[in-house]
Amino acid sequence: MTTAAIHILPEQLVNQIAAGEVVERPASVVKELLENAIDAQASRIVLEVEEAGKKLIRVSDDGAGIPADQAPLALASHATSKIGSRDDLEGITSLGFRGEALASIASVADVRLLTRTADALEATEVTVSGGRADAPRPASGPVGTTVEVRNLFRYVPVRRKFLKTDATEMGHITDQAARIALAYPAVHLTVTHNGRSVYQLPPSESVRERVGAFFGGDLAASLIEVTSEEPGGRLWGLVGPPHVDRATSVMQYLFINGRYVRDRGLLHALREAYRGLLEGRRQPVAFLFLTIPPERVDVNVHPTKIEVRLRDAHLLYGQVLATVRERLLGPGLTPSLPAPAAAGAGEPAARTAAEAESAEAASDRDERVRRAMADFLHSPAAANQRRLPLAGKTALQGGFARKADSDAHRGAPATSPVRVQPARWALRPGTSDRSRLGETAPHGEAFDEAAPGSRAIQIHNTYLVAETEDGILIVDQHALHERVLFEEIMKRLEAGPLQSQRLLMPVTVALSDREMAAVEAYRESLGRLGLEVEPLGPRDVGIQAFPSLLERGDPEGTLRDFLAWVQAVDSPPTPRQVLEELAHVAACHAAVKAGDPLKTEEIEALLAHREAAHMAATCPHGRPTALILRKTDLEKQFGRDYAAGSKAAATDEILPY
Amino acid sequence: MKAVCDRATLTSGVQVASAVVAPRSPKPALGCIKMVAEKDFITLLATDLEVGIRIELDKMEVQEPGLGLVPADRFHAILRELDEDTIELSSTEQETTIEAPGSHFTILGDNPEDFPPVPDFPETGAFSVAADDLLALAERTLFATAKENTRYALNGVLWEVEGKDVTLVATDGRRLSLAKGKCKDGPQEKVTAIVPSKAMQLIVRCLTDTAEAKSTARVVISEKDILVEVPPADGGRRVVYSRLVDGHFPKYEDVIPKDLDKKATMGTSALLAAVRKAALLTNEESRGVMLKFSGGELVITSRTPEMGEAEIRMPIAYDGEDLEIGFNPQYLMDAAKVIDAEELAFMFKGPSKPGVILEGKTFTHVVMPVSVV
Repeated sequence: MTTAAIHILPEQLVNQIAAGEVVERPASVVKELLENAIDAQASRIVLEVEEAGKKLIRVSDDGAGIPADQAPLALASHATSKIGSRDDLEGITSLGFRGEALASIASVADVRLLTRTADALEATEVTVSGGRADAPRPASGPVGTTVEVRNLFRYVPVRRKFLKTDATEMGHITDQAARIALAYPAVHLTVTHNGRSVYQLPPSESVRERVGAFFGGDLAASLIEVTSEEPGGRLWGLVGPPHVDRATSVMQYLFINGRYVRDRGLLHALREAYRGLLEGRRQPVAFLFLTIPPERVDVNVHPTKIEVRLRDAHLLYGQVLATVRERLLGPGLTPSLPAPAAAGAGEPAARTAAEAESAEAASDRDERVRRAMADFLHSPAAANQRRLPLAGKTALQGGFARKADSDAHRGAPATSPVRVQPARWALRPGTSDRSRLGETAPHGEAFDEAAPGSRAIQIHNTYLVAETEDGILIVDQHALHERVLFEEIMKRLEAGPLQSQRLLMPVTVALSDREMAAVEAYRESLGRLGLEVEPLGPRDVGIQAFPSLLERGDPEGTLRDFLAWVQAVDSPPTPRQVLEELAHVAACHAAVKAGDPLKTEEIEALLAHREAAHMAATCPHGRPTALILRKTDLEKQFGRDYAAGSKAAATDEILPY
Repeated sequence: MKAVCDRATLTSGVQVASAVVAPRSPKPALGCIKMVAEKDFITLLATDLEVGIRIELDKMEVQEPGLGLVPADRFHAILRELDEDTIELSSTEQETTIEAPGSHFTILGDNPEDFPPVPDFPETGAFSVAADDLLALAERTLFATAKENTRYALNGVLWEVEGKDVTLVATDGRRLSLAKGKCKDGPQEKVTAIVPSKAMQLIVRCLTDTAEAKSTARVVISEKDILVEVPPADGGRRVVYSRLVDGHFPKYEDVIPKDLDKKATMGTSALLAAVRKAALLTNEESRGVMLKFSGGELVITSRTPEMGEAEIRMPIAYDGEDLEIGFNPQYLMDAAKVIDAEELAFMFKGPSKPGVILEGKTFTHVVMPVSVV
């Protein structure tokens, strides 16, 4: 057995080894080439792919180009125009800087570079095959740079074997394209695969449009904008409302200074912002863009730069958490009811345009609709909630349309006497318990001045329907009440154990051995909630006390559901998770159920809570508690939007053609 | 049928009957009140199949005997709007007409034959209780029933009648009310029954209208149902019918503590006022008030973190050792409200043990404490 002598590796082998880090699969090549195009200030990029990049990856840009004399260097290792000194490394403003990518790619594939600067008379072509570069030669071509990568991994067959199916590899390529497209919406990006157009993305100001192009218009439309400016950096983004969740974190896009990164800390902050709003292990959807001073982030950590080191990680963590959380818990976050799109409309672009337009829509029209809505909610058909399940449909269609029309004929007054705002659900101090909902009926001033009747109605004994500033709010009564109770319990728990009402007779619950053990293990947490559980026998426990906050709660159901959860979780839950789950099950069992008829006062008290609590628009299980049927959507449905803003619309409505 | 009716009498009868009518029944007939006119009175009948009522109205001038079935809510609404002393009422199989000077109503109804039978008070088997005694028994227990409970048996009041002793018991799992009274004429054998809260409310309502008349109520309890006949007052005879709750009432004797070693006596209205004051600074998140017994004084305190604190003092007769114990003030007020005597006794043992409020031997109220943090 002989020992191999130590020797310096040939350059190509060095590059091939380096390529192992940088060029993992075709998508890695796409990433490097697209980033180069962006760094070259391109405004138009064309990505052409054949056989999922195994045969060809071609990226053409209209960027600065490379001067003829430097073109060969571009393919050499550690050659770059992006940084020049140690100081530049401290404040990287370009996506690439290492000068490794092209050389690495050239070591594992056949590469052809065609480039021309704006002031050059002709283009320059350089080809590299098998690691050997040919001399540059003049060629014809447009300003900008085109890089062709053929036969990827031709020189590292092992790597080629590890490639997945074309569909999978193309998926990775698309994701890389999406990352660039989302971060640089002003860049025109075209993607083709095997000669077919995959994406054709014209320059846009809107990240939302780009999200729509890649992930669908419904998702894009549902996203909520978040923004905050702090000394440490500026955060802007689009996040999904809690009901738009995913099983994994793949839909979490985080960009720092235009660079896509996976930062565990900041993604954790994002997940934390959704705490209590998402069910179980569901993951939020988010597109977050952080702009921070370049010197505050070290991107020279990882060859693909997917991980970065942040100087002010804790500040940014707090900023992400607070910004997103505040927005989620803030008022007005209610999923919009996706009304079936009117013919010819419904593209994401059309939707955002409609939203923009609605802001400018003539105010008298808004007032007219507002009045019509108010009248509808006042009409006898609506007031008679007992009959509504039968008569509701006709009342809605007939009553609403007729009333609106007659207003239109009359010519709506400039200001409406009935201007209904959500705050009309008079804020009264906490009345959460079901029995209390009715006892503290509003007396009064808040209602008398403009709204002698009920502002909200119950339908199917399950949903509450109320007018809001810009549409109709539909609330799931159980989900909302559960949410209210959950928030109250959690608020209370932060201050200390819940007040506990002892029971006259213990509620006896028969349990399995595992459940008995769980009761023992979580006795302290149960006690904090006010649930006192004592063993009565080998497989029996007695609930001796129950939180007095939940006077109408169901002690046995609460305990059973909690124990079921304990046994279902994979890993030992944290104390906070335990308390949250306890609050969930307790709130769920104490809340009004679907099918419970509610009195008018109860409806109003419940809705008042919704406003007062500023709660999130989901119940603790992550289901939405409310939907909004937007006025703009209503207008679309009734064909009132085609001439929005024009006074002529009022008369046109009678003969619509 | 056709009759000239005293409007006030008819209205009060229809009002009580409306309380029985099933609010949203799939059977339209159950949303109606049935009228039976004969000789010189009209009987109103209403039922939701669980509970039913018969109300006999005199002062009616029946011109044609017969039947009518009229939707309860409309009928009641119309009667309330009229202010004439008398009205004319006539019914056919399909409709009922109400005539008053200047007003004419025709209400479409249903065929009276579709209306389910409402049992009448039987000839035999009744025991009797003074109307005001029965009212007191019912009022002292009804409030402690569970408003809604999965354990169905609790959503009602237990009646135990043996010899001349009548005992009514109700509990919602956090408190228990027990009231004792005497029969005028006891039943032949011991009877036990759980009467649903809705029927108890109806009984209280009928008794309230007649209790001053020093009259006697009669009761028949069978295996499946109960009938209570409330004697004629202004509006005439009323019979409440109800099915019994099919279930087991908790063993209430076991729940009433026998080992209470501390006893305080105090003014009923003073306690009520003091608790009511202290309760002003509680909410449903921290419902408890703290009762501190020491020497001749009871100090009631409440504290709600985001609201404030209250401290109310009142003199009591107490010579046991100092003790602090927390209660839901609503429970204390509910109990104090139904005590007629000027003084009540409050017995207890320790902070996490039940307290008992007593009025002599006729009323026992067990109330469980809360942990006040």
